[in-house]
Amino acid sequence: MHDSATVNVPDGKMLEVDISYDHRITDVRLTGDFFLEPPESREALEAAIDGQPVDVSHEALVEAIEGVDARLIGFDAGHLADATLEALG
Amino acid sequence: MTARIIDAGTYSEPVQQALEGVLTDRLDAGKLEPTLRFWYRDSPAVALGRFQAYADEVAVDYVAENDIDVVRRLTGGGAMYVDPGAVITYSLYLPQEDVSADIEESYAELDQWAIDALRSVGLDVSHEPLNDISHPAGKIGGSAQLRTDNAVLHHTTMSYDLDIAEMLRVLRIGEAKVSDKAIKSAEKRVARMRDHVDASRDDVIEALKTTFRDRFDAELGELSTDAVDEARQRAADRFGTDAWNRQL
Repeated sequence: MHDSATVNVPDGKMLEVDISYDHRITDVRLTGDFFLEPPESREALEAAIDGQPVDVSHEALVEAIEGVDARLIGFDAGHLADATLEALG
Repeated sequence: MTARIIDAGTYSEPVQQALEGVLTDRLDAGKLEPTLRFWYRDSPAVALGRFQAYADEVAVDYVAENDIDVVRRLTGGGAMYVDPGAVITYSLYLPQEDVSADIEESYAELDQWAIDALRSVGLDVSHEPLNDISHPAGKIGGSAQLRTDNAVLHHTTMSYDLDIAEMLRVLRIGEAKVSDKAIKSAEKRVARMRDHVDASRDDVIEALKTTFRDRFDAELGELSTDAVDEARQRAADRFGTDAWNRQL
């Protein structure tokens, strides 16, 4: 399965998560008009979601995302978890 | 260290975006004074946010048919359609120690002198978090930042009299597209200075220079030839390539 979801952060930015999934999430792509420091941490955020089981909880996703050493600007780990779960349907 | 204002040099969009990295690196290494640089472009282009998907933001066929350069920035944020003479773009390269560590605060702080300059020509503008310069009629400009170990790059593009119809042909915000939510996000109304004041684009740039010079005791300077040469090289290697611009 392949799907994507978009989250519009109130007074913030737009982020889109594209994923493939079977039992686990793969091929994660995070795009949007947000800011990240350092910019290279976009790939690390994708890697934090990659490999998670399809029945992953919001809490577990937030924990994995917050484990990445990055400053998220215009969104937070909760928004990224929201988008991921929405893409999972 | 005395701040510099660089108000010269017309370059292609790939070279302009490459200069951002070159000058930020030089400031980071202590080889550049705190600097304000105005941009002059030679053709219309799109400056894509670092994390945006090319095909989501740009009308791919239209930009190809019309030879519009689409160049991915080093900074995040949204796509801007930029037309020489119709927008005003400038960059600040500053030591990290001179800028608030709080990112939201730093946008407000680094936009303030420009807001004061625009007010001095009669524009009723204000900073709107996170990174917009707003007018009652809509968004007049936006800023984006990049931080390195010792440096902050803060660059801003504002609409003087942008052709909105053309912008909507170039950027996909003009289409009924994939996601309603995405349209809503990107479709903040664009306000144009020319609709609200008689000041010419040059008058506005002069006001920006005057305000900056008075506030930061800055002097006029020039870009060094080797900085421009390095930017041309980086443009050839990166900012002019599909590998960079279409990576997402």
